Amino acid sequence: MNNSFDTDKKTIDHPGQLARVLHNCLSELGYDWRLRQASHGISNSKDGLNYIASKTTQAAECSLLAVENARPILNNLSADAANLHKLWCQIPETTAAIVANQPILNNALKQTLDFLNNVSSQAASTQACLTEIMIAQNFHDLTGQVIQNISRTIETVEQEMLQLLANDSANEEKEIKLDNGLLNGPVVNPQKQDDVYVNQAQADNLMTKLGF
Amino acid sequence: MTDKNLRFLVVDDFSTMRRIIRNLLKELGFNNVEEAEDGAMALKKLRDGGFDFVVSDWNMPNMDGLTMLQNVRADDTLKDIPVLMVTAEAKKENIIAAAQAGASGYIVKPFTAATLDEKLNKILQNMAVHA
Repeated sequence: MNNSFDTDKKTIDHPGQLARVLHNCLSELGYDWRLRQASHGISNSKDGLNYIASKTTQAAECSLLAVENARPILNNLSADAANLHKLWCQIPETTAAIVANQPILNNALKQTLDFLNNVSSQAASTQACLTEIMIAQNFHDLTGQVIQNISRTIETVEQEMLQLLANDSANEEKEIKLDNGLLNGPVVNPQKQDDVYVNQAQADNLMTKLGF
Repeated sequence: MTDKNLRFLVVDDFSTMRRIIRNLLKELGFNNVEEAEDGAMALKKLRDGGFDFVVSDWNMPNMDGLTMLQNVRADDTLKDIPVLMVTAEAKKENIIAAAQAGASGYIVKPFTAATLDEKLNKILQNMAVHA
């Protein structure tokens, strides 16, 4: 029992040896081929993630550009309407009296003035919608960070597997980082962690406790 | 009344997020906004002078936001500039570390326009009181 423990300990001290033994065992059991298949799958997954990253970048940038282009158009619309409204209100009283006596013209003028008057509030509501669309693009930052983290993990796993397959890993041990300390990126599953503050109110509470 | 000419530096490695914050600041009336894509570039810009307010991400290459904040607070010419952290890092230790390093506020991503407005105003009011 003790002997076996000592042997194991020594083996762990020599990862190259362990990798070789494992490699041989895997080959004998036919896992070698399966590992190669898995390695191929990993490579495809990397491409998939890159695809997601590039498509979401395009979508977010396209949305932001459209929002940025739409804002000045709305501002102009609003300013032009206000200006036209002002102009119509400046027509001389004698002209206004004539218009007042023409029911069709009078109705058209009244509806036009109402419309011009409403344009600015409707433009403001549309601006608020544009802000919502713009803010929604922050998904790109969050998902982008998660994709970066997953890509790094996949990269590590892939290298480990390739080393196992190549069986020449004695001197190229890669250290797998489990905890990044203060650099973890977005919280993907808050239920799994009890020390995270994913909503602003929780963060505010803590800041208040800290004297802010 | 807040000075709308305040010069902002928005620091984030994601251009999308820099653009969103820049646009939000514009909506709040602040048009004087510059950008940096990591802590190191931000520090360089800050040391060139003229900035009144920093809005910074945490997790960035080259130099992260916390290290940048610590450098700002350790620099006699920069130490009084407010630094608002806007980050997806949401662990309790993160918030404590930022507070200890001298962050002026902490916003967890994803955030709303109202949250940015509120935190910004709170810091600006504090600035006015201490000015």
